[in-house]
Amino acid sequence: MVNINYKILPEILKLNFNSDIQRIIVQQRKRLVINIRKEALLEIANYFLDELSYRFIITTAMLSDKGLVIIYHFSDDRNGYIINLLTELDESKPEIESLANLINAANWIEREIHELFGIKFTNHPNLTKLISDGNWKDNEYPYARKREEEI
Amino acid sequence: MSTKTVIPIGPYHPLQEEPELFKLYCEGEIVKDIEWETGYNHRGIEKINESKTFDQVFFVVERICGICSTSHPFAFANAMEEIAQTEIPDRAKYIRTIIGELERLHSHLLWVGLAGHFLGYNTVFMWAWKYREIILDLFERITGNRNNYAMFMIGGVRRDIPNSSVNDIRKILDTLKPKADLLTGAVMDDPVIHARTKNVGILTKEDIINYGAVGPTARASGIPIDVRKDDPYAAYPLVNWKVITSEGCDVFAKAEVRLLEIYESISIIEQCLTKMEHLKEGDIVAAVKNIPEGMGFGRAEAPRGEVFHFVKSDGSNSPVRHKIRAPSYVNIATFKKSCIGQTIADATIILAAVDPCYCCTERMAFAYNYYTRIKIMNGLDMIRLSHQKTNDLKMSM
Repeated sequence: MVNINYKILPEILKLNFNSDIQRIIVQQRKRLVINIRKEALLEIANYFLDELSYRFIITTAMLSDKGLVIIYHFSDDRNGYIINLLTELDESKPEIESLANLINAANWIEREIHELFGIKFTNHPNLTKLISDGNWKDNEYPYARKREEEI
Repeated sequence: MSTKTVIPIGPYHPLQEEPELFKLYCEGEIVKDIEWETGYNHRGIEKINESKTFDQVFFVVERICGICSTSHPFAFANAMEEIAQTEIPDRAKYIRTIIGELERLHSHLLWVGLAGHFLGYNTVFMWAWKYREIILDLFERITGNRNNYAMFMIGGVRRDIPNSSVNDIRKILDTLKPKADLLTGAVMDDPVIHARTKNVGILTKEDIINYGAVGPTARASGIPIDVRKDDPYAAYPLVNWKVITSEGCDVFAKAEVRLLEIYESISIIEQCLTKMEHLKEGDIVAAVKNIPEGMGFGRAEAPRGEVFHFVKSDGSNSPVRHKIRAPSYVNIATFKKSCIGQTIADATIILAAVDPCYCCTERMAFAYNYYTRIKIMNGLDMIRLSHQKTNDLKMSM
């Protein structure tokens, strides 16, 4: 099990993944926000889960001023770090590779994000509705509305 | 051709409190597969919070769960203080820790009681819930409420615990200790409880890692993860305590971890009271003028495991996005591993073993034949089945 200090982690990531890493922000209290290229998600997530033995916490989708963004949160329980992989999605056709085949913990949250935000997770084993089955229209995504649309 | 029967537990859990639906696919008495459906009570809290101010969000997240109602404000406060880069006063740290640990005490007692009832030990149920009342009374005295304490705010806590009441709190905790001994003894020494819970609902280390399970569920499989130790917050790094783990991986190990954690919690509260006494009364909140733009990642160890809150702020007075991950979200998914191959009578206690955190008191459950659609069992029947298995064991011993 490799144990890397979060202060030198940005260097190591740049060395390993070079062009796939766009930007790294080191926040206070052992938090790292890493902007990655969408296509490299599986490889980088695998690096954190397998080689560094991080724990998958959850995935967050959000509508920010930059458009639709998806964040993967990982925890290093030995040192208390939270590492966040952030990637931007194309709003007209939001699609990203599923992590569910890599780690089971990602299965439910990807189904939930799919129905709330309309993001398609390719290669997900069972991308059906998790929480609003039968209670919500199929092509309407309640959390993907912008604030001005709601008013 | 074998007949496969589907046993739905729900849309309301027979004994615990959230509307959800488990479908057990059984062959004979053995569970072959399990499916879960939820969303019956989806309140859209993450979306609601986007229209609330940061101060109002505390009251909303406090109502996510009725049992661990402090863990969500705790994690949210941690996230907000990360964005605002605020250090809270020491006295506020101790008060937060005391409230958090008292909550763990009453939550674990509640679980022990429920688990006892599932197994047909109604004496354990009555004891545990009676002793839990002591904690709830204490909460009422400290915060004014038995539940939903409204103690947290950005930068500290809303109410002080006066030094004059510290001795009384100590006395109350002292009365709890012999009762915890009694309860622990009853569970640890009983051969029937051993027979019903040992080697039942096994979750290996690999399962825990793969499903991302947290809290006592993970610690009972020998994985020593605890946010209080790993990513210390509030007063946890200022007091002495240890993370309880067990290598058992079964239902018994989960009970053992929770029972032993009761003692750790009492010890943490006592240390906090002693240290708090030497600090100035009233110094409980640090002024926070505004919340800058940024991202906050807050977490807290709830009685059931890690609560995770992600907040994105844009410099205004309400969150742009607030993501909440409760521990049961990852713990419930492990049913897929722990229930398969077990009997229906055992499934009831396995489903309860991770202490799924629910929010409603309705009860309903059916079992029906998959082909004929004729109802063959309801929730009470299933609990009766579990009781019967315990009685049969008692008779055979």
